[in-house]
Amino acid sequence: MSARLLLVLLALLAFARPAGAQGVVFASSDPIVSITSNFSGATITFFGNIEPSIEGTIAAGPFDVVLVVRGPLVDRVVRRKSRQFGIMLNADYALYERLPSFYRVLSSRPIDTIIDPAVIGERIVTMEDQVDRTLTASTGNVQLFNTEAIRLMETADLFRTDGRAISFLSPTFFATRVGLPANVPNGRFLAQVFVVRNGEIVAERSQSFFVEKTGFERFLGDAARNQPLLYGIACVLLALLTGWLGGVLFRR
Amino acid sequence: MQIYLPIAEISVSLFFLVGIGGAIGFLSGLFGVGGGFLLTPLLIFSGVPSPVAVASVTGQVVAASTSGALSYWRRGGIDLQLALFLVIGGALGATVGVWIFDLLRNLGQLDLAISLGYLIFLGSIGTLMLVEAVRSLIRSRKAGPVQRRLPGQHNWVHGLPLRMRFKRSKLYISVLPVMGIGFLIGIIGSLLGIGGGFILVPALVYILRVPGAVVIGTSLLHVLAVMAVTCILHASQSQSVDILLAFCLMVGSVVGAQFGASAGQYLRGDQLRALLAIIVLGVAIRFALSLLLTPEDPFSMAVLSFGESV
Repeated sequence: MSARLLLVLLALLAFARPAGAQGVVFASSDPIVSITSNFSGATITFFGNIEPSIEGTIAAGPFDVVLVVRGPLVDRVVRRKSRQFGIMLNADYALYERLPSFYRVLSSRPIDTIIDPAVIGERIVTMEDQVDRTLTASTGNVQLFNTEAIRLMETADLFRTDGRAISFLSPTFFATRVGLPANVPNGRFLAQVFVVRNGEIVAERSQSFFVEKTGFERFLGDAARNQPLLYGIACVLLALLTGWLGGVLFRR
Repeated sequence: MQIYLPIAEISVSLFFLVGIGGAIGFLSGLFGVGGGFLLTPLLIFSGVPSPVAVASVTGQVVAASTSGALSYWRRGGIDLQLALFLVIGGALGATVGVWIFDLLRNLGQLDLAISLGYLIFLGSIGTLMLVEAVRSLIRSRKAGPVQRRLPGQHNWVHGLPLRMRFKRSKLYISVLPVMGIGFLIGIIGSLLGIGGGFILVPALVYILRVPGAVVIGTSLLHVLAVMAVTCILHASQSQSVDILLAFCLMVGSVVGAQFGASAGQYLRGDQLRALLAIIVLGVAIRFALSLLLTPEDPFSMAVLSFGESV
């Protein structure tokens, strides 16, 4: 009986080739993360199911899952202070153009133990690849700057790799939580999920979500961008009013 | 309690913002300075991006100066005519300052220029103020009340042309040095993100011989007007004024400024100047240390905004 099942599974595996024939569905708890005035970070839950390649059969595992979450891209510069003419100056720098301002590489097991290193480089962009690829100019030791760039981004809770972050609730159903810090950049985020079996990626799917200000916060942000002159005048009037009111209230 | 700042895009403790606003407001009322030279570095240190800190502090300085200026106005401590000429010079200076600011930013040397600027201006003015204040404190202890410099005493400034009578200040001087002082402080102020009250007060006292009764009120009015212009310029050019951040600081500072202004009446002028000198020198030393000491973490990261180069 079990030998037969194994045969069927093997046949299915053979049929499922080439890689990628496996299906995956996934969703996030918050397609839009709203930033309100008391926003101090948020947590999004991602969950999904690995689908069988043929209708009516079960998906053949064991599987591992990798989730990559990427925030909006910005230009960043890393500088190193060094002593010149006796004072500490920003001397060497490394410029990273269009570096994601938020990056998470989460997996069910450490990524280098589940995927062929060659495949990692091809399909999944690690933090190290990310800084390496976006580096456009540097006046110092490139390796050192890349390491420091990752360290600085990790310190700000903007970059993270976690090899134990995704849990399987059944052989095919997975879930994970992604924490967004209070300093999370606003904009469009992309979440990519990769299903891994036997060291190869057999399915992938991506989906985007948004982090944006809502309500009063959004109104202020829009006003500052679209009506800068009025916004500035409003700020001065507010300052004058606050100052005057303070003077009246505390008059003695 | 955390509050999310929409332009800075970070979350900060509300009590921290109101608290430092209050402390700076107290100093602002006490000495007649805007307090920007303390507040801007404090905000940057607590994680607010530097362009947002510099731009938003201008709003706070306007509020703090308004309540301060009003309480001096009620006591007749403002020379409107003198303030008008100072502000004209100040607005011109701010325009030039913003131009230099952009130039330095394009050269990638803005941070260094700001650090050196703080060090040089705060260091030299703080030292001068401290020496003068300590001297007059010693003199007053030895020989009783200090002989006040009378407004009638003249120096080289009083020989310049285009003289005008400033009634409230009991001065008959040329408008050129008045506008010149406003101009220079406008440049320094917009470069360093400060109101410049701590430079203006000694300049008015020692160069123009403005009597002590109107010097602080007039200086507050000047700072108010120039910072209002700078705030609007920042909002329309760099769009980095965070109104919520500014408001939290304002609320703290208007309360603090009232206490500062009344506390100032219980202190003598030379004591006030000595205190201010120590604070100014403290900030200068802080900048000197950051330039001289090897930092714990020599690496830093910054987001490049539009038009900025490395």
